[in-house]
Amino acid sequence: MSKTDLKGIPSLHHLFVFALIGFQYCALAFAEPIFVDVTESAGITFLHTDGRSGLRLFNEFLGSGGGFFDYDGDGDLDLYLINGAVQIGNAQDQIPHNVLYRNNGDNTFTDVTDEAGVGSRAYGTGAAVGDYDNDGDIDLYVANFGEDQLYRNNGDGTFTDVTTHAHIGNVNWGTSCAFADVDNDGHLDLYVANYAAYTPENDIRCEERGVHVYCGPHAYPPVHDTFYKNNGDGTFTDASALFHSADLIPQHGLGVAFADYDADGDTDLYVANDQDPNFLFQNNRSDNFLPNFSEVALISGVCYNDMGKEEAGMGTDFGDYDNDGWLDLTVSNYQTETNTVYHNHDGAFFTDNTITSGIAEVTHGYLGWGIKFFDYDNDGYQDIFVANGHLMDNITLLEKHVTYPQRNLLFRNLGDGRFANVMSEMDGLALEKVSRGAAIGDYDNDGDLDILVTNCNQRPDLLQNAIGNRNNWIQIQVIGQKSNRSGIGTKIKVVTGTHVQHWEVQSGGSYLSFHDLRAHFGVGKAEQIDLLEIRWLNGHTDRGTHLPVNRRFIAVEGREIVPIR
Amino acid sequence: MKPALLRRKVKLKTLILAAILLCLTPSLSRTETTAAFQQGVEYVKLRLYPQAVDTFKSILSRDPTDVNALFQLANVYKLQDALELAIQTFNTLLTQLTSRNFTITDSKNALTIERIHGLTHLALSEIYCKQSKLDIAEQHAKEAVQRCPTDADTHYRLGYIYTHQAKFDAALTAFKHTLSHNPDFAEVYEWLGLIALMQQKPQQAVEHYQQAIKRKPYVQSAYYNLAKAYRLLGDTAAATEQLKLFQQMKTYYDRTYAIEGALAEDPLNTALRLKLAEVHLAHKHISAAITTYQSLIRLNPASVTGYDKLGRLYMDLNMPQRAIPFFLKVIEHNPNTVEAHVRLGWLYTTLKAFDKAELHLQTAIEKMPGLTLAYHGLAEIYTKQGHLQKAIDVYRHITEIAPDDDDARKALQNLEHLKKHF
Repeated sequence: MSKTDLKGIPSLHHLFVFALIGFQYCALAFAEPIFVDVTESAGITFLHTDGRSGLRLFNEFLGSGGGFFDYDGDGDLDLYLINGAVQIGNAQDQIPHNVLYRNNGDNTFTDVTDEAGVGSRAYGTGAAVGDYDNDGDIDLYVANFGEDQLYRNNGDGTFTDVTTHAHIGNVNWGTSCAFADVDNDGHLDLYVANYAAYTPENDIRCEERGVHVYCGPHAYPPVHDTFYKNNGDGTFTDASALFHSADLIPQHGLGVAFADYDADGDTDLYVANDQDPNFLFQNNRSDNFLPNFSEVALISGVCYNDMGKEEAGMGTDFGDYDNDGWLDLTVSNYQTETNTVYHNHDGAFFTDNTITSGIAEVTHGYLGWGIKFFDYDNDGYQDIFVANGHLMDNITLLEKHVTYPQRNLLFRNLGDGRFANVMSEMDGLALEKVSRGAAIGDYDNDGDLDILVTNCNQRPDLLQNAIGNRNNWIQIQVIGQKSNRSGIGTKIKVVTGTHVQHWEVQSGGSYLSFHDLRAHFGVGKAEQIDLLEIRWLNGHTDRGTHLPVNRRFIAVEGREIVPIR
Repeated sequence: MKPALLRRKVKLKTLILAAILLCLTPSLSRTETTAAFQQGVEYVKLRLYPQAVDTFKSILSRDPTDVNALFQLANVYKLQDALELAIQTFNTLLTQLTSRNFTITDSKNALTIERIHGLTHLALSEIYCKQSKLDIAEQHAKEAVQRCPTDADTHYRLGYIYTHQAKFDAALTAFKHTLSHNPDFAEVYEWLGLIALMQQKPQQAVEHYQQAIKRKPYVQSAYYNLAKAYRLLGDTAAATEQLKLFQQMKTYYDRTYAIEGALAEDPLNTALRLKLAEVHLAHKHISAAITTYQSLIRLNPASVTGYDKLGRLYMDLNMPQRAIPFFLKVIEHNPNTVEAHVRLGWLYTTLKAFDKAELHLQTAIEKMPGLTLAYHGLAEIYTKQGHLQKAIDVYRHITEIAPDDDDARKALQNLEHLKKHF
């Protein structure tokens, strides 16, 4: 059944087969597809490989990411998928490489990797997108196990590898990365989380109860993350020291999310670390506009779990799930640890609402990676998607009830601080794979948010949202003028009646993945946007009032907000 | 006696003997089983899990219906994190209990049937919690409460589950029952604090966490969450103070956790266990250090270092009567030791057991004639007993063998002065 067919069926979305609604743990089971797996029909044949050495090399389990971006500026989202590489023996018929799929605009994609020149054969992990050179097209940074790569978008459907010229090739084992303008100079800077000092040559064999397993992160020393400051001339300077005070101990970095959590006008950063304390870097931009970061995770309540212990932080994301104007935080963790939902108290402090939100009981049994706030049903509340999959291919030898492939999770925001686990046994949510990355974007431009899931040694899943656009929505593409052209860091407020929503345009979030840079708001049954307020990073604010719903707008800094559809 | 009668008598004797032997045989077997069971329990206490498994399996091979052994075996599997095996074994146990097909070990560590039944449900509840199956865990916890209503642990488990299900009213009731059976259950106060935090009642949380810390001052999480409560109350200074304590406790926890992890792999590693005790001592967690040294001695009864460390610790704690047996053990295992004799001399002096003190100090001197410390001890004994001349002689001897010993010289002068004038 296609998504179009479903539009004619009234309110099937609300006909759940059963609903277990206790005080805490709510499960919503639906009789109709919510997300349809369209990977095959979309023509996506990409197959990920971790190298398949068979040796359980330490760098094989993290997987690779991907995401949505409109590389050719034609108004629809294209796909980029990152691949691993063969490291030891076992030469494969086809050399694994990253793949760029151009959106044909008809729900299908065409592999344009070769002509675009982005088919890296490095051992890829994560990626970030943003217009670092402010020339009007979106560039691409790929983090690798090995030297990273920066691809400058030439604006003609091709890219040029400018890694060397831009002085940006992080040689550490980069994982998640994100662009943000931390000094508000109008140029996008870049943060890359690094995992560990490891080479396959110094691989250690690890065992648990006599079973050969992947080593834990502490088998190899961590390395400091890398921060590149954009010089504004196409080059970058390694300014990692901005984040490394003398006493900051490096950790095994995996998840990266930028956002102005304290709403003081500059961009802060959260880093999820694997079995290490997480970082919250508060940007205390001084009067001379130089960024000055303090690591405040402990005092802010986002360093450890409720037992004061480190968790295996994988992915992370900021989002205002309770629509109070403050960006909350979520982190995916290892199985038996639960994912975490932190509630932001006025930018000063976070409390752990994992149990009360209903996330704890469900996620305890899953190993989470990609995690993202997004409003899948356009009801005006941020839901959460989590990509799951165990790390050990042989986990059942140790724990019979645990499987390597796992279901992904969709949590519907109930609007009262709680989330319900949305279960559907007949669609993309029922897939059980070894998932890693999760990217969000409206690739079919139909007004609801779709999901791209990357999987280890498997094909990715493109999950088309089948029900979201039954509610109303708007999307805003922001274009900075004095602010960075991609508008990353721009804060958007949407008011419909008494309902107020906040969103910050972000480059990162989730795990190894990147997302639609357009801001998307579900507005339920509201028929008009009373106020659309766009606050740019340089402090300038643009407003639009009485705007129609179910439209896509373009907001150029300092100009009138206008519809583009 | 007629041969026939004799034969009958012999036959009767044989029969009686056989009957006696028959009666004795199971009795002997029970004794062996009891000893084996005790040994198995001891292995569990020492975390020698493979040995414990072998022991309980051996008991069960002789009597598969021994529910105490079966319970212990399942429990060891649980401790080894072999959860499926543990579930399977606990379920076998439940079947036996339900069908009333069982025997009971005769041992001081053996449990009553009802308690085994309750604790089996409790253990299954804990396992299902670990496996994220809270619904099943809840059912087992309820069964456990029903069978062991006066056991604080059963109520605690139920409270734990309800907390994680955010059924806070039910959790509070369960924790209230827990405290009624064990008012010092520190973890309960932690969960009460967490519930208060989740219910946005920071002042209540502060009170609960303070109670938790009072009962278990070495647990990091209480400080961490107390800091959060202070943050919610707007008291950043108090929060910062608690976070400092949290970090101290966390450092302590991390270090002990790492060592305990290594010990799980290598339980007989004496150096590691000594290191663990030192970490406990560095954080003034004396009872943990004592337990660690005791484990070391139980695992390695010939460990002179273990006895010596424990003796010294009790000595530092000014508990001479507790210290003495350990130094005696040091001498038993290492007859050439000198230091233990000196320490025993000092300890017996403290207890005014001068004869014993003198004996040990003389032994020390015999072994090391130049040991002035022992002579000092002797002189002190003589002084305390009023034998001034003997004390003077000893101090004089010290000044001869150690002319730079000012203490001896001064003591000698004092005693000679004392003797002259009194």
